Amino acid sequence: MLQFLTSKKLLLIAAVILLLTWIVFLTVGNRDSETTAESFLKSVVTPVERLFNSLSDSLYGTIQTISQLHRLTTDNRRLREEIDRITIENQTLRGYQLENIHLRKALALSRRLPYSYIAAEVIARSPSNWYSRLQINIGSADGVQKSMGVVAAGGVIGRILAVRGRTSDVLLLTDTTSKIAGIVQRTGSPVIILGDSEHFGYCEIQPLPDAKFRPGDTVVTWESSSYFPAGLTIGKVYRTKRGQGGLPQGGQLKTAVNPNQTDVLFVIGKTDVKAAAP
Amino acid sequence: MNLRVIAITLVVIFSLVLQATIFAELAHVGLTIVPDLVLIIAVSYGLLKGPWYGGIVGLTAGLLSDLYAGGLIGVGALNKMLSGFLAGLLEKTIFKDNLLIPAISLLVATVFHEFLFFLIGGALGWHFGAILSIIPRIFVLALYNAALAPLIYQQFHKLEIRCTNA
Repeated sequence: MLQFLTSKKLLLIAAVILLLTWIVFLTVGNRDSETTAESFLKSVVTPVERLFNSLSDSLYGTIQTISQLHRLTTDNRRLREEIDRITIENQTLRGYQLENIHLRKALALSRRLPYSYIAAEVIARSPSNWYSRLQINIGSADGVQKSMGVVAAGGVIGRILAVRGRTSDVLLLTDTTSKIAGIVQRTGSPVIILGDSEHFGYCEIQPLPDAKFRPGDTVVTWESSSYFPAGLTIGKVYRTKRGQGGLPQGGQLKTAVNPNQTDVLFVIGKTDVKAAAP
Repeated sequence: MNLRVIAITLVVIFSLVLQATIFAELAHVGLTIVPDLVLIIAVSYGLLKGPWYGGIVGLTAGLLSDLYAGGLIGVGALNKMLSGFLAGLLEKTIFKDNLLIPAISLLVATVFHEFLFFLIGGALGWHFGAILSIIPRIFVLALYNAALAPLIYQQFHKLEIRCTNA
């Protein structure tokens, strides 16, 4: 079976393997930007992706609508009641908001830093099972920059990995190469959240010394995070591994947002420091 | 450029887009694993045309896949080249009309391909869980690829017959 492998052919195979290994080492780690070939390929296929994405959206939408027709009627009635309740609650909250503004002015407190949020739609997901990444329909033309934080309705989802003119790639929290700082809301313990591609929707928690947390604790973004404003929900502690002295040695975190169920997300724009000034 | 090169390149790009859109959207219904159509193409070509074709198609398709996925460039190319090449070693010994062969080959090739990725990623310091935790995922992916393999293999078989007759 292997007689055809002459020494020349073996040399060629070895050379190709060496060349590929060299390319792998060149691209390992956090790259500053995409290669021209990557940008070109993605730009070329973007229109096809958009077409396929809208096709699949309408296909799944139709299937879901048919299968959930009865539930939708019930939900509709329940949601109408909910709207009435929220409208009343909203009026009360507006009153509180006005009161809050007056009180803050009186106490000369600065307002919470305003962040601009740029809405985006998912147009493609990672074609590989080893990466957890998304492609969104906004890019540098819309003000997106590398490393900007990305959130969805429930909390943090990831950060911008690569930006092109009209599209960008999002590195999800669950990607093997993702690493962000968080803080346990209940105890104030800082932790590192590492991606875990093996258990989709979960991340690994790497505690810093003396960190205290237990299952059910909420982990939020840290104020010294380079990507996110403080206090955004990252997820909840799912389980812990105990070390010496009963302190958690590590654990697993269930992300607040399931990226597979999310089609609309928001890129956190630059902080408008001037606007934030009192 | 002949018909074969154009057809394979287009099919690879089309497969990548399918993987990133329609197959990835199946996650909405709980299927979080995306089939590796590009691996199926490389292995099918190896089975049909031998180790060199399998290796070259695997290398080119894997490289396109790496560029599109935006991660490490070269890992997919290396894995798919080896998978296509090894599958091609069977070319002389198989009955090409038997559709069970691509299915079984893809079961084995997927396990080989994924473990190789796990080993390379692990050696590069990627954060993976224990090896036992990836086995169920690899098993599901292998079944998924094996189920799709006969359909794709058959189309390439037809293309090859047309190219040979042309």
